[in-house]
Amino acid sequence: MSDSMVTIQDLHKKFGNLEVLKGISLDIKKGEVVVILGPSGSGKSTILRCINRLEEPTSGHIFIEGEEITGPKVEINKMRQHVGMVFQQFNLFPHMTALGNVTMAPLRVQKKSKDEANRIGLELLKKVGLSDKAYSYPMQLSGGQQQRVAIARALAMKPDVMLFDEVTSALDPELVKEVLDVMKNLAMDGMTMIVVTHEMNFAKEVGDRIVLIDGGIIVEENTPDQFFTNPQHERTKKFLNMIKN
Amino acid sequence: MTRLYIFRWDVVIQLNKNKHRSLAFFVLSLLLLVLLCIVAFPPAHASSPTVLITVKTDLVYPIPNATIYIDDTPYGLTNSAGILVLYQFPGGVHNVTAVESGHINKTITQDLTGGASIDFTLLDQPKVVATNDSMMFLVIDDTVARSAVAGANIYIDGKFGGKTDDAYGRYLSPLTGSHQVTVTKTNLVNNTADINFTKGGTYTFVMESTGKTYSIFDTNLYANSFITELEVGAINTIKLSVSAFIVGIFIGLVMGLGRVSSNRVFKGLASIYVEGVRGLPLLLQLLFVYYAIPFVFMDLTGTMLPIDSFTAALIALSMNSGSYMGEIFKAGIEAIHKGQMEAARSLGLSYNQSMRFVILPQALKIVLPALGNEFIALIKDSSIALVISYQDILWNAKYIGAANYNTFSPLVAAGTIYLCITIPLGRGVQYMEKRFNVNVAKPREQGAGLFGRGRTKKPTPEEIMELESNPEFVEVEHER
Repeated sequence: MSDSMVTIQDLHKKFGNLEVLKGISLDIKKGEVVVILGPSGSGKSTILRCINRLEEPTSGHIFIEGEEITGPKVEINKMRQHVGMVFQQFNLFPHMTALGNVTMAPLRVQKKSKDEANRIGLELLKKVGLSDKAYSYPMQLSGGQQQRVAIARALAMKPDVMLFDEVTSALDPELVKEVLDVMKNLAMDGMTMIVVTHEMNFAKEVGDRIVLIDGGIIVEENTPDQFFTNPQHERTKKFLNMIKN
Repeated sequence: MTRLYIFRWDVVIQLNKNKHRSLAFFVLSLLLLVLLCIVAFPPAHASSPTVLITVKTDLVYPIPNATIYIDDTPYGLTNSAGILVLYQFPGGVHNVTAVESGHINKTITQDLTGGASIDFTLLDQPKVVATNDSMMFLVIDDTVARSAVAGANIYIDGKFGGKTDDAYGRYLSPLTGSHQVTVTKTNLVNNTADINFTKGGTYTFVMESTGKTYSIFDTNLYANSFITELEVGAINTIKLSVSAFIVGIFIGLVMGLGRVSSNRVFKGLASIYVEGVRGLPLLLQLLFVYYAIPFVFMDLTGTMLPIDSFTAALIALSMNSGSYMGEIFKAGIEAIHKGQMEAARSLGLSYNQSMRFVILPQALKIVLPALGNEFIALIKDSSIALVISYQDILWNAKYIGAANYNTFSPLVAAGTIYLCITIPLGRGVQYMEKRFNVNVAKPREQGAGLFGRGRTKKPTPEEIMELESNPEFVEVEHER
């Protein structure tokens, strides 16, 4: 367990009568990139949202670095410092500059000085290749640039694990690559990442492990090579066939 | 066919039904307790036999500090409402006299029994007396208020003698002997009398109105009332509306935050406030603050609550406006896509920090035009303060109208002033709407808001799936 970053034990989530997650157990090691695949509505995003406690799990346990984050006594804002999340719709704060977005957490949560926060912010914007856009507002940026700012914003807290929730789905095709490149660099830097995506090439290239979810349960869990070339389950074969067409 | 998603209140209410029921029970029992207390402790003077004495002018203004004598024995002074309640009094028929300097004494003979009431109407003392070597004409108007008529022309034996003065409507003449005197004034019937003058005498001419309609639009009166209404009234109106707006914004902000809060108590209180205040007429609220609350205060403490008409109007208007602004803020906050809150929370910001740094700055921009409209409505609504004699534009218009027997011109002047204020403000709001729409819509073009105006994309199947799985939403097929 010592090298586990995120451990999920028998996670259930119900929305009313509909059970979206029917017992998910997953162990993610430090520096590992886990790609979660699955058809729409299979509950992929819900897993990420449970890890960040944006959704309250109905039952089950989640540990980050061996520390339980489910349950009522957890300091939720402190816990979220360890988990960075990037959304499909970017969710940048439109009334702030790119730098303002990135420095939000260092300034307001970690209570760093303005100079210190700006230094961190500019460094991160440089890392995602947007040094020249620090003082632009989100509406002046392209979708890909906005998503890169969102990644920088999530990184500003120096999180232990990054969650990517279909981060390229809302982008024009020609803008997808710039975001994926940033994510690749991040993976190479050794960041632990859980990625929900429809980008199969990215999954193949960057993923250490691929998890297929359908109907609220894990159907297959495998290395990318095995997953794409030698799928074990009928459901996986069907899924791969579907994306091919 | 388009898809619409409607928030299902009935589901939410059902979930919280029991909690609501206990809250409602608590509030009702509290009300019942208050009512019981009122019944159990009635006011002290409810049943003892008293004599109520009221002293008023002929214009029914109360006369305070009038001494009441019964058979030449003083029994007390009237209060500020011109009222004296006698708890002890001799029975039987007595002469009751009301004396007040400035008014002519009056005596009423009445049988004094418990529950009797005596109304005195005292006439003004003549304000001036003629000097010894002259005699005086007093010209008063009988139509309204028996007021002095200034600038009336006095003709003695057909010769113009002069005009009555502004202050008292009087004209002094050194003549003696028998003369024919004619008094004329526009809009009043000429009054002619043969008078045998003696030195030191005072002669009163009571004038009647010609009954003719006054000129529909009196430019002079319009100009005069415009200036008064602007110099006195508009300043008071703006003072009241701006203060009420500022206080209202704070109330509205708190209520708006309460309405979207997940704290049940805060949310419940805010909802009770907003629904309650919005459901009551503004006039009722104003009268309640100005009359009812001091009344209760008097009953409980025995002292007057020092509340002037400005304070009362400020409280009523800001409370009322605050409830509407609460709804504006609520709508503004709800218009911000929930992803903004999620993004802020995922960065580790607390709910309050997210509101302060992320949601409210955006919401404020959205609600600015609506707040502008609320301010315009507030300026117009502030005119209701005239019923508690707050001297705003409309009060001045009514006052000038009553004093000049011409309500038309002052009211038109008042209307002009209101339009001069509200139309430019309305333009300003339109400008804001145009300007801010651009800023608000653009970031949303990236497909941000699912319900927002800026939504340019259909929801993805996954979004629909997530919505359908949420019990608080129900899908409705909508025919276009």
